[in-house]
Amino acid sequence: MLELTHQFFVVIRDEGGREIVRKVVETLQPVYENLLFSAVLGGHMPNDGVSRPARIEPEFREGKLQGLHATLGSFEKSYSLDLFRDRALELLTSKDLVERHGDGSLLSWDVVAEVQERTKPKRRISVSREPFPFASSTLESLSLDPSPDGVFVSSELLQELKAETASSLERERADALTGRLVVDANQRAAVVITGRIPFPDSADASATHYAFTPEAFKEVQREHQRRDDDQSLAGWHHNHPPPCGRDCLAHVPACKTATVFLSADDRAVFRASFAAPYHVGLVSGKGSERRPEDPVVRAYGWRDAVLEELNYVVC
Amino acid sequence: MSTMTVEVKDWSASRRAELADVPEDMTVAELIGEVREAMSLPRDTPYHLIHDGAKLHRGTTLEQAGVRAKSELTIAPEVSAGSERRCSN
Repeated sequence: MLELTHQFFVVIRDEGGREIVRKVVETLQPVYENLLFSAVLGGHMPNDGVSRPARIEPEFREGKLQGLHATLGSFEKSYSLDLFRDRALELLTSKDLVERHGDGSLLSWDVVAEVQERTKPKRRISVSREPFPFASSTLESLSLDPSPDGVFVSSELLQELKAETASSLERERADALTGRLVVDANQRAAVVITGRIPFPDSADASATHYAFTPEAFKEVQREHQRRDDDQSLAGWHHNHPPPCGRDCLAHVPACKTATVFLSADDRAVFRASFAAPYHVGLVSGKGSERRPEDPVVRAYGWRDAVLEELNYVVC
Repeated sequence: MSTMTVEVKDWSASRRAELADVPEDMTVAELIGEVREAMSLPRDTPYHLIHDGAKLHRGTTLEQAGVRAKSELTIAPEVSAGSERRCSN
């Protein structure tokens, strides 16, 4: 439950400082999720699933927007403008801007906050949530040493994902990832990813995209419920095939093309579908000067409500 | 026109919104809009309601769609991952 005093806009400016694009920031839910998660981990809030209201306000210094200040009960946290970097990069790499302004190197971005009129909801709506799914085990009890980014992927699962990636050189495919959310001795969260639920083959998939349908999400959720094990939804995986598809296999030695990165569209999937602060996105594909049958897997996830590349430990 | 209380879960069943006094002639699109606002879901991503495993048409009313007070509704996005637009840090 978010109470926003302002609406935020990402603004792109040309080399002369003129505003050429203004786009509203469509959700700050990752900030709420991070705020609540931090409060729970720090012992400031019980992990009881109550959806407490949080207030998010802009922080100004000398009249200039510096970031956001979020309050949840007595717990407070500040966030930098890095929160909006994703949206800015998405706009800077949008087809329209690239066509008009080339690589965008002469463009700049900033964030504008405008006071938001509060509208009364048309009817009574209450939002509730499940508690964060912390497992009863700890990192230590799983015989794992703490790692800075707190992401662990089982070697069996990694091999499976690599095998799927190596055999899917013409089309993207996707999985939901399952695992355990645990804490280490210092009350830092870690996620141990050990399983997957494949998303159904998408009729709308190609070498450069995979379309998640609402029905596919529902099917994955049903399968997760059906399994009824101690695994939580821990994130998602998808592959980026090489641009030349199966022809890549014929290239000797392997070329320098690398396909593993978190695209603007991937970031939208994260925000819409995997916004929990412990959710991890694995992207697999061809590494530079590596054979397509020997794919690379990289991890991305939320760090203070910003999507970043994360280091992971194979366990 | 009678009203009902409707419960909508997100796709992962981790959050749910309960809306009171929902008229039966409310359209699916209107309900999606209110749930999206209440759950702070991204505004630039299309969302749909799933009922009995099927996606509901946005223009139909809840009554036409067979939604009743105890119906299980799920809100889920329609979104694409992909490698077409590179966005490096």
